Amino acid sequence: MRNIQRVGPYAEIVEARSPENSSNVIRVGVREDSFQHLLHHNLATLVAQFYGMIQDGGLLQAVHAFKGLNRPLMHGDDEHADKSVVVYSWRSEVDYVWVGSRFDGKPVEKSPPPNIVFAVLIREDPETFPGVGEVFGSIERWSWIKEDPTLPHAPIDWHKRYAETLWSRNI
Amino acid sequence: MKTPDQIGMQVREAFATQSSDFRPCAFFDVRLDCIRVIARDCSVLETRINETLTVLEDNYYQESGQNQYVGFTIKGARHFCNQNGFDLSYPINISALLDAILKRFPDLAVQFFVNGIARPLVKETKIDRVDVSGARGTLPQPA
Repeated sequence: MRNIQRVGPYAEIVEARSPENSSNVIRVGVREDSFQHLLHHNLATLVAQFYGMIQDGGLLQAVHAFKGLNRPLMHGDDEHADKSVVVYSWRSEVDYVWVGSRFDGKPVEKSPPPNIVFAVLIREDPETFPGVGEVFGSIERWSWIKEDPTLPHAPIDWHKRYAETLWSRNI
Repeated sequence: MKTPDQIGMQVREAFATQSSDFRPCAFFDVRLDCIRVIARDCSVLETRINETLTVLEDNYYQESGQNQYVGFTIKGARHFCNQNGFDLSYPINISALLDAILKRFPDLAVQFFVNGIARPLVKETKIDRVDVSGARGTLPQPA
């Protein structure tokens, strides 16, 4: 099923597993201003990773969900914005790198190096939109991180990075 | 699952109104309160140096034969800049920012990061300054 796009402040809406229960599906979005920021800086690989690894069920592959970043994070007047971040992680089987210019270039599919995981950061900011329902929050960042040797699919030192584990799935 | 061709079409569509290609850049990520310095558009592995610093490595540098390190991130940027007397009203000199990082974190790992990775990277890419005006919030500015 194609994901809904362009809702309120969001350029793209995608499905994710609920932070409360991994069996339930919620919606999260990439804000238009965040997406424009990627475009402004011509970060085509990040955009290709979004379409190839997060959209259309990619984010549903998450194996772990954590909450709270253990580092200072101010957002607007909120001095404790670190507490409202949810992090999903999994070993993605594919990666994409944009090769060439944006006009005649293309995404090249790669097999990721071993022992790294894909992590997606989402800021909890629930809002309900007519005809769509609740959007849980905004996708703020996605990147690769070394895998923890003791917890497959989790970022290294996850217990130091994040305040709490929300869930882990057996796959 | 989408094909690379489908992804390519989406990316080209997204960039339809942009008129230039990637250039090395430094910017303030207001939503995650960090300064990002990015020298190359590539798939990146983020490696944490400490709670403030992260170094960015190209996941496929061995294939491409290019530099392994392609950028870095300074997290908690608003606090860090204010605590170290940077005026957020004006672009910050990245070299001065790196000096402040060394002063704040004088351990060997950070020395290696600053002198062995960050300084050569900003010199090579000629990224001199970063505009942090988006970081001006409710925090008091240095006198």
